Formats: sequence, C-alpha cells, structure tokens
Amino acid sequence: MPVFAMSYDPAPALAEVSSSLGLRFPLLSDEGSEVIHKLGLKRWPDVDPAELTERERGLPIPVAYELDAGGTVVRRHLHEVHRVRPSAAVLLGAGPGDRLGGYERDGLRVEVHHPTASYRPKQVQALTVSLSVPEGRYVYVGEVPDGLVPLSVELIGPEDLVVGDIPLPSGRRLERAGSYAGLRILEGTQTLSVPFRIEQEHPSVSLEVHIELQGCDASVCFVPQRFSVVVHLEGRPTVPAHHALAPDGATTGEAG
Amino acid sequence: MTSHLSEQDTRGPKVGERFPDVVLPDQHGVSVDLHRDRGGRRAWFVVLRSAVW
Repeated sequence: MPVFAMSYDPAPALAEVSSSLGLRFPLLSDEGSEVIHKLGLKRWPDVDPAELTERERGLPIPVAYELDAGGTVVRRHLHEVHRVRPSAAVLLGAGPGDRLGGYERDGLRVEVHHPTASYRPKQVQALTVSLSVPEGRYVYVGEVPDGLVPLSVELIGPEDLVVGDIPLPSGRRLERAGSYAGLRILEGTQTLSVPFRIEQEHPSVSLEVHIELQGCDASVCFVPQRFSVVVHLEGRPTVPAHHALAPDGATTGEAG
Repeated sequence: MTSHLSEQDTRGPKVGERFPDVVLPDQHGVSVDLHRDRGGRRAWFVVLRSAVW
C-alpha cells in the first residue's frame, strides 16, 4: 500500500533522512505548516506563536490515516505526543528490509527482518518475523488443549527494551473429527510484526526473538520446538547534528 | 503499544470523511498530489511530528 508521509521539515532535511534510512516513499515537506493548519492538526492551535519555541510552532499532532481507494478515511491512528513515535522506516511500510537472522529445521523456516538494521532511542520500530511451514504441515495458534503447544513469539533484549503487543495471525479452523476439531492452525508462510522500542542510546544492541511452536501433519504432531534468532541493531543518535533545523527553519523555503 | 494519545482527540480529518486534497513538495522538491499520486489505490497518509528530530 502506498505511503505518504508529511512533516514540517524543509525538503533538504527530508532528503537526508530519506536517503540515510533508505526510505521508498515520499516525505512531503509542509514547511511553514500551512497544510498542517488547514487539516486542523496543529499541536497547539490556540497558543500565541510568540510563546512557542521554533520547534513547537506549527508542530502537528502525530497521526496516521488509512485511506480507502476512494480517498475516504477508514482508520485513524494516533501516536504519542512526545519522544516515543514510529520510526519513519518501520511503521510506514518500508517493507520488511534486510534479513538479519533465521532458523531452519525439518523444512520449517523462520526469518527475521528489519528495515534498517539500526534504531534510534525511543522510536517505535518493528521486526518482521516470517514463518514458513512446509506443505502438508501446520502449526497451532491460539487456545489449545493441554499437551499441545501453540505458536508464541517473545522478544528479549536490553533492560530498556519495551515490547508492544505481538499480534498473531488467527489462522483457520482445523477441519477434522475428534478432540482436535476446531483448533486454529497456521499453514504456508505467515508474517508477524514485533513492535518494540529501545529507550537509551547504545552503540549496538542484540535482540533475541524466541519462538515456540509445534508442527503437525495429518497423522502426527512433532515434538515442540523452542529456538531463538539473534539479531543485531546498530544504535543511532537521538538527534543527528546535521539534521538539526536551521535557527530560522520556518522561513528558509528552498522546497518551493 | 503503551504509547497512544487519547482516541478522544478529535482534531483533524475523521473516519468516514474524504481526506482533504494535499499537494506538497516531496524531499526532492517534486510536487506530490496525494489523491492523484495514489492512483486510486488505498494508501496511508502519515503525519510525522518531525522526521529529523
């Protein structure tokens, strides 16, 4: 799905961010915040601009809109005001990115991807975990009776790692007679998003994706597998000096 | 995630409304028209606090 991102930064600063993160969608420059104002998205619309700092003036509330094919808003997603926010690369559909680690056994394959292999403190990011189950086999998900192990995904990392909810696919109902009837199963290739943020600056961090699952086929369930994929992310500074806004950033309109 | 604004914040375009026209230069200074350039496809329009700080 196409992504359009907008901020009040000047176009040259956006060009730097875009190329350094390898973004594949446009970053629109609303320098002067006219469109932000017109959309009614100013953070402090009623405050005298003289009382606001350069950065606060014209600042929007961080929000994302999902539009249908006709351009109607079907979903609105608000992000936190302050320093916790989605990284431009991740929540905006930059694709799963580089493969950072993986696991393969008995035909079952797990791969972990991240768009940039790096992070900035307090940015909400996501690892993409893809799970490929060989043909003829499946993996349980959701509620299962004692003795079976459903898919679980856990992210372990430094103390300042904050992990969001990891939504698991709902799969389909197992169509067979007996006590396993109606249990939910996953087949084929499934993609999961593991949202997280890291609060502090580190030169680099190691994250462990712990996955537990049990593969079955029409006649037998295999021993549950528990394994980890370790990925490394390079730390980036919170505010890169060369990205800082010019003192008079609101009026240097190179973007035209 | 634990990091949401209040969903009661009603500023800006609402669910069910057509998103207003937006025409702005992109990072290369090329004019982008949201509704024209999404070409009849579903799309995300994301408002960033700032992409650089």
